[in-house]
Amino acid sequence: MSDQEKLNILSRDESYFTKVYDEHKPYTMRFLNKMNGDYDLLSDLYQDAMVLLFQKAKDPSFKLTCSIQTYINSVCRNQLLNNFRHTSRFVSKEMDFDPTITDWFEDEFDTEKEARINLIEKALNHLKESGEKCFEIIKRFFYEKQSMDEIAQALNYTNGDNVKNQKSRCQKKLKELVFQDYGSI
Amino acid sequence: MDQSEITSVQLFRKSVSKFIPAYLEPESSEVLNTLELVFSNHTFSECAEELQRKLNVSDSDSIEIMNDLIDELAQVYALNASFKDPVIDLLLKSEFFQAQILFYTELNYAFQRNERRRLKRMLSNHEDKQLENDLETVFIRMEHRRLKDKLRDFDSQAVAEHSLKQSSTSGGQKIFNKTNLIIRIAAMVILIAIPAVILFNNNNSTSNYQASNKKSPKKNNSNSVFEKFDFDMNLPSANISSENVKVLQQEQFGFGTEEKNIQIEVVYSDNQLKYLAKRQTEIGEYVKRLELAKNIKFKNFTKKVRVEQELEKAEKMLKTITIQISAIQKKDFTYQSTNSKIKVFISGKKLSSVIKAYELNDSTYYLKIEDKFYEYKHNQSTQLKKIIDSDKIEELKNCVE
Repeated sequence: MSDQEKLNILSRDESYFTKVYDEHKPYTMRFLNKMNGDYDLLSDLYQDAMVLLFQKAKDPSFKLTCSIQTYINSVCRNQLLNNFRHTSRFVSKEMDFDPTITDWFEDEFDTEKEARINLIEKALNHLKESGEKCFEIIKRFFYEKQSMDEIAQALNYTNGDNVKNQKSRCQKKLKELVFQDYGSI
Repeated sequence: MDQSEITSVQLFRKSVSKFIPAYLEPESSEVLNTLELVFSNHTFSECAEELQRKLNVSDSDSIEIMNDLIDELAQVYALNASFKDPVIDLLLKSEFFQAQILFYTELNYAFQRNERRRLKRMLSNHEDKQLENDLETVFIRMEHRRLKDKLRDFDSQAVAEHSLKQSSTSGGQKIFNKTNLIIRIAAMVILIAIPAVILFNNNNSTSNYQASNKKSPKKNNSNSVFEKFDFDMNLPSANISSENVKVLQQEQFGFGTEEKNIQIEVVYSDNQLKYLAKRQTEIGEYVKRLELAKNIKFKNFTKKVRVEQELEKAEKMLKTITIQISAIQKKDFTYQSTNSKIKVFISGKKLSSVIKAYELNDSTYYLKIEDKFYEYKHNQSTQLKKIIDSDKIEELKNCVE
């Protein structure tokens, strides 16, 4: 099975995630170990890289330009060199990485933005815990970029228009939950 | 007309048609002109006023139409920043539109973060599960090796015994061969059974995908450090036997002796010691498994803390048991007495004969326990004093039965 095929399975079957994870871990850890010997740090980095790959797999605009192994190695290597410069050095003779791959999570925000995102997360969790379909609808539309018809099929709605109406109600509820706490920022 | 123009025009028509059903009719270019005119203003209220004039709707209706359109266009843009639309290009200059885009962009970040956490938790649990399985394999292998070694020793012992027997009995050969065969069959069964269980369960857990899959043995709940260990202590009560016996006294020449009796209660705590020793062994073995697990690096911090907590608990329990054993052993051959009753504590095995009681003329009191004499005092609670003085022992032996 080619790496692109694996990525296609990954984009629609979450249970495949741990299998891909297990498959690439040994090589990646060996590759990274030459740069930095902290097992916990490397393990955490590998998990982050795999999560990134999983999220990219779901993004229709993402194109894998190398093997999955090379992609993971590159992502981890760059993170190690960028963030742990004082404890990492590139000593591997293996060239199984692509220096042009600089993908990573955008997770460093200013204090105010961080506070806003936390509020939104809190509101999303509230929606999730309420047990209604709001969380799923909003997630599928905004995060997974599914169409109304796709969401209707997945969540057993009659058609896309019904989903759109429900989505509007859910968005309104989400905004109410977020903005009621906005004063605290 | 290209797709992008139709989007903002379409959305606008839909919003307006809730209030003016006929608004589905005008040409797209006309609608687009209206939009461009409205959004050439900078503030929300200016745009709403312009819209109100153009469409001849109420103030509240124009605000609602504006809100719907801006919300929809902000979502479109937040999901795809490269989306081209002349109305969006106009709106990008206004703060109220930027605020909406910001909300939806940050919503996307919130989802990403939420998902990232969820997936990382999933991977951590997956790693822990693999580690559990690996530990189970290690424990099974260790047990396998131990049994093999035991059988090897047993075998060598049997051979050694046979060598002795063979020189004395002719039938020894037949008995040895039969015994040896049984031992070998038992050894083979044990040695094959353990890996067979592992292989059987591995074959039943094969994945459908081509990616590599780790083989994991059947989970042995009783040996897993992650299964809850029962620390409950159900110490049995000590066994008590009680007997009313005649106090043996020295012969009073010329005088009759007053008959006296004493209630002798013997408290046996050997059953308690046996129970404590058993729990000590069980917990000791559990500690060994925990020590092994402690040396493995856990990705999931809670699992590591749990092993450490269990270890602490187990070690505390072992200390408690040691103290309890010590307390029971310390009580061995102590007594509690009144004038008419004595309670003797024995931590060893049961006495083979009944305890006898003695009183000498000098008002000293003694017990005979398993052919040995001990002095005790009335209304005391202390250690029995063993008598080693041969004259005293002779005196006691001469007491009248």
